[in-house]
Amino acid sequence: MYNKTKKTYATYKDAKFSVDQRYKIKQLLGKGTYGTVCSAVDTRSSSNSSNEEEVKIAIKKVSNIFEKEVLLNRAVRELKLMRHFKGHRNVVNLIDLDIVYIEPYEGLYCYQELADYDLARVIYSSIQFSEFHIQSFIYQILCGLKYIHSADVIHRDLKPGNILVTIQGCLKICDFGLARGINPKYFKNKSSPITNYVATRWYRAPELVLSQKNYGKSVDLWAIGCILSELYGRRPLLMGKDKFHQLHEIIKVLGTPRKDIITKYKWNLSTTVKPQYERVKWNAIYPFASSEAHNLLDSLLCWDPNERFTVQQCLEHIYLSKLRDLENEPVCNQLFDFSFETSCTSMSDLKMLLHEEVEAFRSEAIVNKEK
Amino acid sequence: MFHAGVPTANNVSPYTCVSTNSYNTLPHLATDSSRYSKAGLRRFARSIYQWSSSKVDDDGEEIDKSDRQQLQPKFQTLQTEFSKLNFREDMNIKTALAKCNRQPDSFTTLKNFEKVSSHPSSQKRVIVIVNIPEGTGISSILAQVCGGPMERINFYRGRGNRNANVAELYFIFPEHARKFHEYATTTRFFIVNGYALQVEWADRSNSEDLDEFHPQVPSYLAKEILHWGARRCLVFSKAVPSKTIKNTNQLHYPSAKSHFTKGLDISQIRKDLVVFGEILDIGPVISRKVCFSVQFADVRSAVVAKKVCETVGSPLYDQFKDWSLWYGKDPTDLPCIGK
Repeated sequence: MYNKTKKTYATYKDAKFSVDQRYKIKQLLGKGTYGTVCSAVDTRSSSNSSNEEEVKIAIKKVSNIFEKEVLLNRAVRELKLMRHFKGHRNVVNLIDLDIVYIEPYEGLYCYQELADYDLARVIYSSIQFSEFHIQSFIYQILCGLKYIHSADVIHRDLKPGNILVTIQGCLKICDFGLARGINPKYFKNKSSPITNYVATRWYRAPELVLSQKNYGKSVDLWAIGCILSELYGRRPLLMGKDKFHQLHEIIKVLGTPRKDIITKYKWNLSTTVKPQYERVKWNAIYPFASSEAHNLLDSLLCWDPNERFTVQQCLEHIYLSKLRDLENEPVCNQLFDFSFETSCTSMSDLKMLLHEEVEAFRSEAIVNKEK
Repeated sequence: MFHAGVPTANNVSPYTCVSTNSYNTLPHLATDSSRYSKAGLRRFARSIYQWSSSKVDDDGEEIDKSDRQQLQPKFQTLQTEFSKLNFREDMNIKTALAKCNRQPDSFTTLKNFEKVSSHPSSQKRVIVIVNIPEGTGISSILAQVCGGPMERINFYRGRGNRNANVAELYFIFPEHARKFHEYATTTRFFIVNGYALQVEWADRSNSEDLDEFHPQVPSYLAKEILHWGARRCLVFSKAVPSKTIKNTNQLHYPSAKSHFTKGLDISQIRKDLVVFGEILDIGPVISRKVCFSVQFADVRSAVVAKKVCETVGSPLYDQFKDWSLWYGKDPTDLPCIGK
C-alpha cells in the first residue's frame, strides 16, 4: 500500500470520505456514532490485466477523533490491536491506514479486508445450517479468540455483527473498538484496572450487567455462549430492553443464581431475585441440537465467571473434537503492550502517537530492499 | 501444436467463455498432445496406487488392517471406474465434450491456450516457503496466500539441514505465482500469525526434486483445469425440500427447525473422500441449500473424487446421488494487494 509518490485524493461528498484515488468507493455499508464504513475496490491490484478481479476492501472512517479524547484513545487502541493481530486467519486483516485533517473529511481511515457477510446477516436469513456448520463457526471464532486472549486482550464486544463471514464459510473477528489489554505488567496503577463500558447488551455477561468492576476474559466466553445459542435458535437468546430486563432474561434461562455466587461477587440482586426461577434445560429450548452442544452451552452460559470455560477448555470440548486442527490453533507471539494508555494523557500526546502508528504501519507495508 | 479436431481460433466458439480471471499466459502447460495420453493415465493410476498403498491416513495416523481391508474394494472400483471414465487416447477434446453432453466451465479459450503455449517466457510456478515456525499449519498459511489457484501443495516438517518446516506451492499459472512472489517479497503483507514468512522460487537449494523445479502441468491435468474448471476444492450441495424460503434480502428470524439439517456426518464424508488424497480442510459453505466444501491438497484428488462420485455404480455414487457437485473457487484464488 505504501507508496512514496505523493498521493492524489478523491472525495465522496455523501459519505464525507476522502481516499487515495487508487480506491473506488462502491457502497455505504454503515454509519454510527463512531464513524462510517464504505465498501471499495483497490484499482491498483488489477493493474496487470483488464479483466482481473479487484481487491474488495472495507474503509472505516473513525470520526471526531480530534475533538473527543475518548474517541482518539479508542482509535489508537483499535489501530494498535489490529496491527498486533495481523495474519491470523480468523481475525480481520488491516491493509492500509491514513489520517485526513481536512474538514469535513477529517478522521482516521482504516482499510480492511471485506467479507461477503457478517454472521448476523447469515443467522437472520434463509441460510441452511447443520450441526457441522455451527461447530465450524464456533470453532473458528474460538481459534480467533484464543489468539486474542493469548496476548492478554479481551475483545469485549463479540456479537454476530462483529464477525465477518466469507461465502466459503471462513469467519473473521473484527471491530476492536472496545477491546483492551489486561496484562498487569502494563498497568501503572495496579488496582481496578478496568472501568465499566457499554457493550452490546444482549451479549453482555451477567457480571457486566451487574456493573462488577473486575472482570476478565470470561466476558468473551459468555458472548460466545450467546452466539452458540443464537446459531441454533436463529434469534438472540437474551434480548433485554434495558439493564434490568436483560438481567431478568438471563435469570429466566439460567435460573436464579446461587446464594454463594451472589455473596462471592457482592451482586446487588435484591430487587430481581423474586420470583425464584429454575434453570431451563437446553434440550427444551434447542431440542435438535446435540447433547454435546447442550453441554458446551452449560459451560459457557453460567453465572459464575470463574466456572465458565476458558477458550482452551472450549476447544478441548468433545463438541469440537471432530473439527480440531491442532496445528492451526496458534497463540500470539507477544503480549499486547497498552502502556500508552497511561503514558499518553493529553490530546496532543495521543495525536502524536496516532500519527506515529499510522506512519509505522505504512512504512512497514513495503520492504526496503536497500536495508 | 494442437492436433486435428481440436478447437482452434476458428472453431472454438461453442466452448469459448468469458474469463473472470486472466488465464491468458500459459506457457508452462504441456502442449505436446491434445489427447489424454497414456502417460497421463499412468500418472493418475500411480497416484491412486500410492494412496491405496499408503500406510498412513490423512491425519498421519497408521491405517489399521481392518480399515485397509474395508478400503481395498473401493480402491479397486476406483481404478476401474477411472480408466472407464477417461477419454480414450484417440478422442479429441470436442468429441469428448460432446460425449459427456456437458458444457465445459473452462476459464480460457483454446485460442489463448494455443497462442500463449508457444510463448517462451518464464515458466516458474513453484514457490517455496522456507521458514515456517513450529505450530503454524498449512491452513493458516494458505489463508494468507493469494494470486491464483494451486495445482497442489506439499508441506514438509523438519526438512533438510535446517530442519525447517517447508511448504511448496504449485501455482497452476506462472503469472499468478509471479504476482504472489512479488506481493510476498516487496510488501510486508504476507504475515502468518505475526510472522513474516520468507518465500523463494523453487530451486536447487530448497526443492526436493533436483531435476525439475518448475514442472509443467501435465497435459491431461491441464485439460481438466482448462475445460472443466478443475480445482482443489469440491463443493457439495443438496436442496432442502421442506424449507420455505422468504424471497427477501431483509433480515428476519428464520424457522430454526426447517433451517437446520440433521444427520450430515462430516467424519464419514472425510473417511470416504480421503482415499482420493490428502484433505486440507472441510468447511461449511454459506448457502440456502445444505452445502459444504472439501479442499484437497492436490487438484488431481478433486478430479478423481468428482468423477467417482458422479459415476453410476461407483461406491460413492449412491451416497452422493442427491447432491450437486462442482469445483469451488480455490481459497488462494484472490487478487494480490498492489503496492
